[in-house]
Amino acid sequence: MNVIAQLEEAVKTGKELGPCTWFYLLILMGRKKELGGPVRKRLIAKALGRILLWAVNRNGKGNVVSLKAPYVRNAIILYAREHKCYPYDGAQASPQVERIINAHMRAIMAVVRRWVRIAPPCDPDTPTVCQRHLMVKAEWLRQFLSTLT
Amino acid sequence: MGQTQPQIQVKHDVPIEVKLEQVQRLLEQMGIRNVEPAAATAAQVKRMCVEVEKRRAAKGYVEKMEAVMTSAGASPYVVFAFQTQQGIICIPDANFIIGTNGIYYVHKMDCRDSLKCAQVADKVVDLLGIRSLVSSATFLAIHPSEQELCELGILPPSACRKKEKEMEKTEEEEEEEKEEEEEEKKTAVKQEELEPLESVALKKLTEELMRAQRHAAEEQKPKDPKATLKELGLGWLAELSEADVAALRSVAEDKMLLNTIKDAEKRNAVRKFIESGFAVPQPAAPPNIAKWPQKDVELFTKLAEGTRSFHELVAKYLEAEFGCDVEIVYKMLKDLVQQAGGCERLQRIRSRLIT
Repeated sequence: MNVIAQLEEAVKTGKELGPCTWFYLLILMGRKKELGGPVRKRLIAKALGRILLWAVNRNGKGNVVSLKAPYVRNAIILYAREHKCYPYDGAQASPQVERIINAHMRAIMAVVRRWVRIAPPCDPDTPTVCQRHLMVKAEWLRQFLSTLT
Repeated sequence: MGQTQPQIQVKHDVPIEVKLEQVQRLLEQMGIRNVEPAAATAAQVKRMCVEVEKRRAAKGYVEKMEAVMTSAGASPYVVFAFQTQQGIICIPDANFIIGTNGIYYVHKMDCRDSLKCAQVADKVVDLLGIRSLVSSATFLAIHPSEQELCELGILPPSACRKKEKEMEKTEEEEEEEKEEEEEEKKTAVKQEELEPLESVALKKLTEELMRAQRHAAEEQKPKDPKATLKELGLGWLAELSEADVAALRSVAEDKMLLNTIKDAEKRNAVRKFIESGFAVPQPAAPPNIAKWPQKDVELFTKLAEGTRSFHELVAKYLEAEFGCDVEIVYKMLKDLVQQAGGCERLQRIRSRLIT
């Protein structure tokens, strides 16, 4: 069964997908053969967007968010834990998930860096610092991710 | 060299005998003494040479050349034939030569030392002024080592640079290919087996997709009237069993039976339900709602859901907007309506609160 084609079709037609779908997608994003095709960047961005939007909305503190790898990784794991996605429906921690997420972090951070490049500088006086530390305004990120998802 | 030298004008306005003398001198300087001069026809030259430097001539020039050949019976040009291991490589001092009838003067050189031969060819090319017309392939046919030809400056720098770039590219490509192969190997190793977690995740993802598909299919189906009635706060109608609904259908025409329902409100609801052809009753929207701001429409729709009366709606509004207790507001409104002078009572309450 071509899972990825079905998923793309579901996204295209606006079918209501469960919150864990996005987490499973990030787990399986390297599995071309099993998914029936490669996961497109747009779909990865959508999945990541959903997860990060949840993470940003959950933590209302601060005007600026630094989207560095540990933050993104924690957001993904917290999202899965909060929504009780497998294996967090029975366990509090899963080294296996963490290992898989770590292996996929390169692709995930490529998407994040692309977002940071198009984001307005978090501080007009020091735009390079914002870029370097992957810092974006929380308000902008909320709006951007809402349009993305 | 005892060949007959035709007294005709050659390319670049240099008499042929001058050229041949120069060639002779040059060859001697280069230490090549075993040169075989020969006169050959075009067919013989073609047969002799494995590779002839092919060039194109301007149309007008070919005609002139042909005229000269016809009148003189011999070509004013010479052919240098380099005998290599691969065969005889010919460099004619013309850009069209082979093909026109006449005699060609051939200088056949034995190239045991191919590098030296290439150097001679290089000098010959310079002497004849046909540098731009001779391709690198001809030199390479005489001496196959490109690197050595480049080092001696025989091949043009552009060809050498190209070669270098190609070499670099090939090296880069090879490296990239190696990297790709390594990555593929890594992924192949990775993708050999699906980890237990991943296989469960795949299963769960498929389940999610199936569920979404089912949900979408259910949404497309017409809504169950009973569920809608419940949503509209007319749950008691929904509680009617299938038999009751069937009975209602059967008695729809006999309206007299409706009178058996004693509660007037319920009776009217049932009548409407029957008259509408058992259609789902739609909530009545206030007039001019289309002109309301979107925010107010949304708020109204949200508050009106499940309300039993206008008072309840108002109470809900006060709760939503000001955080008032619904029960208290509802009771107050009821009291105000039941007792006369509601506004005066309100004013009294207000003044009491202020003081």
